[in-house]
Amino acid sequence: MTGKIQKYTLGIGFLLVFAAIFLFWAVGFPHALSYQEQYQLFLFTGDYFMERLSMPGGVAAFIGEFLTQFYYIEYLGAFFLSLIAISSQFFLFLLIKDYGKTDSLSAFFLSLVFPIIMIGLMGDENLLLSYFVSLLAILKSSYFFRNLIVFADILIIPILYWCFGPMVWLYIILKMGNYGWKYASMAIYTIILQWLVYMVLLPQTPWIEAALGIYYYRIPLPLLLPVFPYVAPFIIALTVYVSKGIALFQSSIVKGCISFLIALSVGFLVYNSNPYDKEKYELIRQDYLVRFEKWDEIIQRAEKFQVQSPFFSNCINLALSQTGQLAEKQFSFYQSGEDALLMPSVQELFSNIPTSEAFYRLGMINSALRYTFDLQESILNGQKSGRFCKRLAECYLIKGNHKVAKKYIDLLKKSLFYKKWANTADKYIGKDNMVMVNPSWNTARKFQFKEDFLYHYPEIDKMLGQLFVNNTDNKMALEYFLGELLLKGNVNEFVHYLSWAQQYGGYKEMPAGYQDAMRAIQSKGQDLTSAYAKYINAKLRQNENE
Amino acid sequence: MRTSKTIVKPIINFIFLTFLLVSCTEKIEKMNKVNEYPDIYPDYIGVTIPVGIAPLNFNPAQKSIDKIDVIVKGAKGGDLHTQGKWADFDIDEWHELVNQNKGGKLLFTVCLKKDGGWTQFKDFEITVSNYDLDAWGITYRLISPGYEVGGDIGIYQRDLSNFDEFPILTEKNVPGRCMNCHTPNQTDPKQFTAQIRGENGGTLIQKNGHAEWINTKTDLTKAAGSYASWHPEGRYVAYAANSVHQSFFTGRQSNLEVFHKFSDIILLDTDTKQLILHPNLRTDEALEIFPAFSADGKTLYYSTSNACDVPAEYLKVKCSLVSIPFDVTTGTFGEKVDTLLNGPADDRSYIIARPSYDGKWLMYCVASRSNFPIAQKDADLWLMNLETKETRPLTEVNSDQSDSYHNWSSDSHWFVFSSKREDGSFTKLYLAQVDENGKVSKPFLLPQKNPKEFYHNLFDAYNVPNFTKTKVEFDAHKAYQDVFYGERIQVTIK
Repeated sequence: MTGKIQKYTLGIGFLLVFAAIFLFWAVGFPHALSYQEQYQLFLFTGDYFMERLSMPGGVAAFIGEFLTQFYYIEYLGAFFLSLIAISSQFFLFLLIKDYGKTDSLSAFFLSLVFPIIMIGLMGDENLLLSYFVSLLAILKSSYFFRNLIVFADILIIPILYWCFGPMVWLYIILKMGNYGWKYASMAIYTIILQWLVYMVLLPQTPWIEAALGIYYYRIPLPLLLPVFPYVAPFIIALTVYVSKGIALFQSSIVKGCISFLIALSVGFLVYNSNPYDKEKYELIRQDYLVRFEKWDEIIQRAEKFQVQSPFFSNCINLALSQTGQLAEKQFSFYQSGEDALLMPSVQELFSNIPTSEAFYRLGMINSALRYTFDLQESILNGQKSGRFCKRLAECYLIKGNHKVAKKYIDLLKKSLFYKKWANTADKYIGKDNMVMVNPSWNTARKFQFKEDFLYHYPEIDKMLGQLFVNNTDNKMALEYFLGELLLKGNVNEFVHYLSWAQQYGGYKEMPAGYQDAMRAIQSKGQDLTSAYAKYINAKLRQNENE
Repeated sequence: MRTSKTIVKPIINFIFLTFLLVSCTEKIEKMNKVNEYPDIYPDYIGVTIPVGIAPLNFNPAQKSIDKIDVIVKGAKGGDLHTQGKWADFDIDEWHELVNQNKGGKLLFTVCLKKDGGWTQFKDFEITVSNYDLDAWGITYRLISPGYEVGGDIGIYQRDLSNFDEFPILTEKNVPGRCMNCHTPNQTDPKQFTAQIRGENGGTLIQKNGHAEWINTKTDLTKAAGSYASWHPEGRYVAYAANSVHQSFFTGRQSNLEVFHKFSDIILLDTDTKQLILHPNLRTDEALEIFPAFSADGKTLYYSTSNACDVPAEYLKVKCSLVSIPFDVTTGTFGEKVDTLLNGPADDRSYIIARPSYDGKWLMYCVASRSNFPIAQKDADLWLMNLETKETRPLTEVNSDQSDSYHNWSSDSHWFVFSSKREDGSFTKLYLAQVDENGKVSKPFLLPQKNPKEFYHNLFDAYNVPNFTKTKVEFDAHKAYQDVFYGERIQVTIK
């Protein structure tokens, strides 16, 4: 009877952990999942599989990327993540029980270290799911092969290394717990194995990646070596080792308390390391909301918390523009400066996303294409992005380059979640007139510049003005133009071109934001009730300081 | 998406293919005949190929074709037959047939199966050249086409007798670093140079397996060297020291304009690690760019354009093609600069002079503007007879998109170049033959095992191709150490 109660208690315990992790991702951080998904494109092709299989750790990468694609539907992603977490915890639990000969409750408490560490580690947005797939596989292997003769590991270790990468060292460390220093020969064997693989099979891989893993981290390790992901396996191994010590206590309550305290301490350490930096994750959330065009939610969140960065300004301004509120409320929110509407090109994978989205909607298709292209090429592990490929295909279709659009469309057809869109888009290939039937593509095409000239970011206001003149139906260009003049402090030009707002803006009355700006201009910045006056005064102060 | 270039992948592929290789050839009993050439990709109809080239596999251009059946008959004997989703010739049998028909013709009979019925098309010929291609393969850079981020960039080499590609140095090995192109001495990989740009940048000189990393930037030279050309005797390398930039168009047509803010030509003595500077090659009023030594090493060709206020005056950038004498015994340049082709006078830009190694020809790019032709849609290849100074556009190879980055084979009867002809974006490599009279054959696209699938799935552009006599030997592991942690040899000014 006690056994049954214990079994059910444990089952409920695991279920609760599962539910907590699921809710953490599905409700708390769905945007973190979207972020991961948008920097890869899993393809159902033999080549994709072979490419992964041909490198150590490739099986974990393949499984990790396969599962990461489901982050496209956040609940599904959260489910798989919770499954990995709970499975890993379960095998850690079994290892603890087996090694420490301790009772189930304290083993359960100790095993909580795994989901705690996992949640902590996943705060690093560059750590890939293949890392956790490898951890799970190694924990499982460590349990199932725990009593296997050492000789068998001569075969098992190379297989584990090839499939899951250097995480195999956790297997060796855990085995050393059973076999002691006798097992050191296998460690030497693994070093030789890794060295041989590096020398013979990885001619284009830096030694640091051959040693520490090719597929665990998005940023190449020679550029950034994260510490915690390489400490975590030791903590997990230590959890197993420490269980033997805990088992020495007679009382189950004492054992449970110590185990719980250990898990709590790890949780405290993880929490203290602030893995989910509020500002960073707010920007990731804004990007997620932009991606799925949840404009109202962007504005609602910005009313409560604002990150003082150009990325944030770009997102909120785009949301205001898409809801017809930019002219009214631009300066009611934080404006980072001249880059608050459109940022200059930055060569990394995230910062320019809202600008590329704005360019696309403005009809500056070449600029949207350039920014999106560079965003994709900035993914340092060489992955393509489903989100970016889709946008590139759209840009090429709008530009009328169907051959290149077809390349991206056919690529997306090999994916799971972009396939449907790609099949629809494929119907437009070679039928340029049909592109004009698609409302958003047709609008973008109509809004495009009629004449070619060179993009020059310092003159972005003039370009926006030109874009509006190009097509006076482009109200977004008008509002971005006037908004940019205000951001730059070109007040004379703003006053001059305000007549365009009256003539073409379709406003019933002059928008409150423009009235506010006019008050600030007329009072020479002295009207302290004006939001624009505050912005321009701060800008002047900043210029003086510089 | 480019696939991995590891040793393991071919092994895995081989295992899988062994299981899949169940031959099932359908006998064609009834067919329609039409008097037109088959629509195939790549267009290999009427091209000229060298002995030793990889099989010219091709696909039906239309997706709706169920099967293709190809019979190849050699005018001097031998035949080949293949049937399947695409024409996939056995490599050994192909080489045997091509060898047997050197100087002759191969006749291709193509049947296509669509909706259950076969159609036989008009036969076409491929000529097997008498000129051997004295090259193991080609080297090139693969880079994402377009904008400011190079992405998963890498320098590769390709065995021309089959479809094997090998990395020389990839961005994966030196992450975050942009690499400039591999330049051998003529086509000899025992001597080559390459550059890494940006942080930890440097110029690599490898001679007979010994690699040295050099810092060619000095107080007197404004930038590190690029666009290299070796003196044939192997002691000197000419570089253009410049600052390359891009600006982007806003409209529907062009994507970008590439320009140089400044450019000088410098000469590196690889023995003494000294730079040789000459006032005519580093003027303030002009940009000197794309140096190239003549076959005898007595002349240095290069392009020069007036210093313009770029990007504002990008339309005014017109390069002339000029030459200056060079004395290898003293390592000095002459004083007189000869103008071969006057860009501003002709309202054109003459760029990337490449003298043939037999001293007969000078191939170069002609565009309406710019000193960076690959970004110019109207860039075409032209040929000058160095004896008569007669010039002509290579209409046999040019297209309505950018054709550029040409290089000669060691015997100067073949050249490789890059072209955007297919889609205006993804540059591909083409090879063509030149005979004694300067007659050029129809170019053929670099063969691939399954060309349509390969090129359609490739999201990289080829650039700066070059022939290589033998396989390039290069220790990429050591390059990683050298790039990230190694010392740079600082050049001095002579």
